[in-house]
Amino acid sequence: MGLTLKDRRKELTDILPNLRRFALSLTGNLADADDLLQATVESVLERGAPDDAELLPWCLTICRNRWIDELRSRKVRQDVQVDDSGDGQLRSEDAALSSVELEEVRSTLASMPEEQRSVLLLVAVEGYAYREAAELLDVPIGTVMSRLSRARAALADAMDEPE
Amino acid sequence: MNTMSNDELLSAYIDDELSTADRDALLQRLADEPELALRLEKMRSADEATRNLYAALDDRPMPDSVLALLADAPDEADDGDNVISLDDRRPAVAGWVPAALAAGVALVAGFFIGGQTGPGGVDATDQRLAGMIAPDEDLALLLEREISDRPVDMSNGSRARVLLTFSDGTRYCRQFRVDGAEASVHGLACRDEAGWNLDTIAYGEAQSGGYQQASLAIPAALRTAVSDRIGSREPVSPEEETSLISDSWKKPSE
Repeated sequence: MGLTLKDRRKELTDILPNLRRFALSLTGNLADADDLLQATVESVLERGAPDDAELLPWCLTICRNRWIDELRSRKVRQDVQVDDSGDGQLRSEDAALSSVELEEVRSTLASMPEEQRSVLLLVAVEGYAYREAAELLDVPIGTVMSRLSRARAALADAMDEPE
Repeated sequence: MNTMSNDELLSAYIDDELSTADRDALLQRLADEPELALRLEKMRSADEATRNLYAALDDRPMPDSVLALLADAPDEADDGDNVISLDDRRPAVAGWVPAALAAGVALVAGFFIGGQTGPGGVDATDQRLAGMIAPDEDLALLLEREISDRPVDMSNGSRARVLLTFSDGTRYCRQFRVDGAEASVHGLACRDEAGWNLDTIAYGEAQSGGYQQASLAIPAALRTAVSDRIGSREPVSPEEETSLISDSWKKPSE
């Protein structure tokens, strides 16, 4: 098992966008996502990665672990929850959806349980199969299926709301 | 027959995760039930909007601090000044260790390297003990008893943790780090019958803030030292580590 990441630094740089998306799916806000991305990259640089492991799944797992650590330490410190006031959230200029619909989706995503949001990212955005997402999140496939349908149901309901 | 709800069926259909039978049945229902078809379209729009929101994230530049981590991983050549390699086949380290470095290491890690730290550096008059960590020192206790990734506060106020445990074929070795207020030390120690011997240490710069300690990547010379000793072996698993600790580090069997 090789621990030098010198050769894999390029690979790691290439997958930063994937890691950042996943970080956002876990945190629900941009500031925490940036911090989590930083903590993840530091961890990966410190621990190294096995030569024979695919780097992205390895890094996604480390990202998830770092977030679990952070939540645990926030619970201990009893930090106030980040307020979903819309600041630090994403905006998008998509012509196909009205801006009101997009705002509904954005705010529903932000307030969605993290477990639903992260599955939605892995499957609907990153394109992982249910089995792959289940492995990455260390849950049964049935759990992936139910969390995903609840996420989509919540978003579909939000888009149904009168404008 | 399945017990999936409409939403679950539609969701799995979008992901092409339905069995052929379930899919065919759903297609039939979509033709017959306009409300179901509408629900499907809402879900697809929701997926599309989600992708667009994450794409907006992709358009943002990466945080500078993250790019800096990847740009700054030090090259082999740069680390020469910051490394002490305490191979026990070599004579004592006194005379070529910069005094400030030795003092910094001692302060941060709270241990003596086999002897007294003096103004000229580190004195280790007994070659056999060069690199040996006294068994009652904080660092020795950390290496002897703690599982990886559990931070421990040392009596001098610094914080230490083991990062990795592995066998080098004849001994167990543990990679660790110690973070003090102004300096960080990364190290590798291996255990023989007498106890833990310091193999390599490398001196890093101070940590910065953030909700998790930010620091430079592991100095390259330390990564090399670990890599040289671990070879193609896997590090020990958490379960194995727990066993080794409770068995007081019986020798590897390979």
